[in-house]
Amino acid sequence: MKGLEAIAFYNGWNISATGVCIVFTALVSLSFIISQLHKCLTIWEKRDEYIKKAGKLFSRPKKKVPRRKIKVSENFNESARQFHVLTQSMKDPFSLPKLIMLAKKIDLGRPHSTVNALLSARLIVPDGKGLYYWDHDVYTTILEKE
Amino acid sequence: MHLDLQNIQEIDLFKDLSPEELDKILPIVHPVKIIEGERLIREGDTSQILYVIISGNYMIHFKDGRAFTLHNKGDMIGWTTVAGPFTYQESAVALTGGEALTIPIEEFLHLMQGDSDLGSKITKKVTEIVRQRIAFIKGPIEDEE
Repeated sequence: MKGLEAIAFYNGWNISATGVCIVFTALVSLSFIISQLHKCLTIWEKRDEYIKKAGKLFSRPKKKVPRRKIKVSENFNESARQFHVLTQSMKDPFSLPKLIMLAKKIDLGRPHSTVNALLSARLIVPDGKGLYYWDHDVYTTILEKE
Repeated sequence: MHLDLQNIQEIDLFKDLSPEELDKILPIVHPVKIIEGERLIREGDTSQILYVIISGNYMIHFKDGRAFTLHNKGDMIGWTTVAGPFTYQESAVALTGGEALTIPIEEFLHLMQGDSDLGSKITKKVTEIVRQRIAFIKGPIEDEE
């Protein structure tokens, strides 16, 4: 048995067809990959952006934590500024009732609760002998946060 | 505010009292609401009422300008009502709104005189408070201006 007969007998045609199919499939795949390579390069270049997007998709939505309401007058920083000016006109350490009296005289709104808020915020600090002083460090920090 | 034996016993001044003694105290204790800026007592006035703080913030001050603030439940205002001399040695003003218990001096002293055990327990507590505050009452400070 020779020639085409032998090829047919030993499944030569089938093997050849399979080989051709494999080669063509590989070539098609390779050409497809090469044609899409520019997209892969773009993704690689913008990888940080895509990682962030993916992170957002899989992360749990953050619960909005309500801000703790502090019982101070609406414009605390403005009140602090006004009281700071007042304390500067007094000798350090100053008298707390005198500060309230001065605030009343110039019609500052709600001087008692404002003084209480300033004490809570540690802007006004007791000297341990019945008088008080203004904590400039805390005041600077509060102004910086503005 | 509703007053009963349990919530009155939570107050430091009455902590050591027995239920029977608290029963005697309860009818003369009256809860009051206090508004921001309200003057509770004035230095030099005849002391008539003792205040026990339930809530709120208060400033105790003296004629020479010294002051301290009270923020805790059970703090007392006008303790000279009990310990004498029977004039207020301090002034007190509310920095914020709050609640307090008022105890009229006459009825309180009458009760303490009628029950020596109760009287000694109350006096002991008041003495503790006096000891804490005595530094503010003794001696004038240097002039500010």
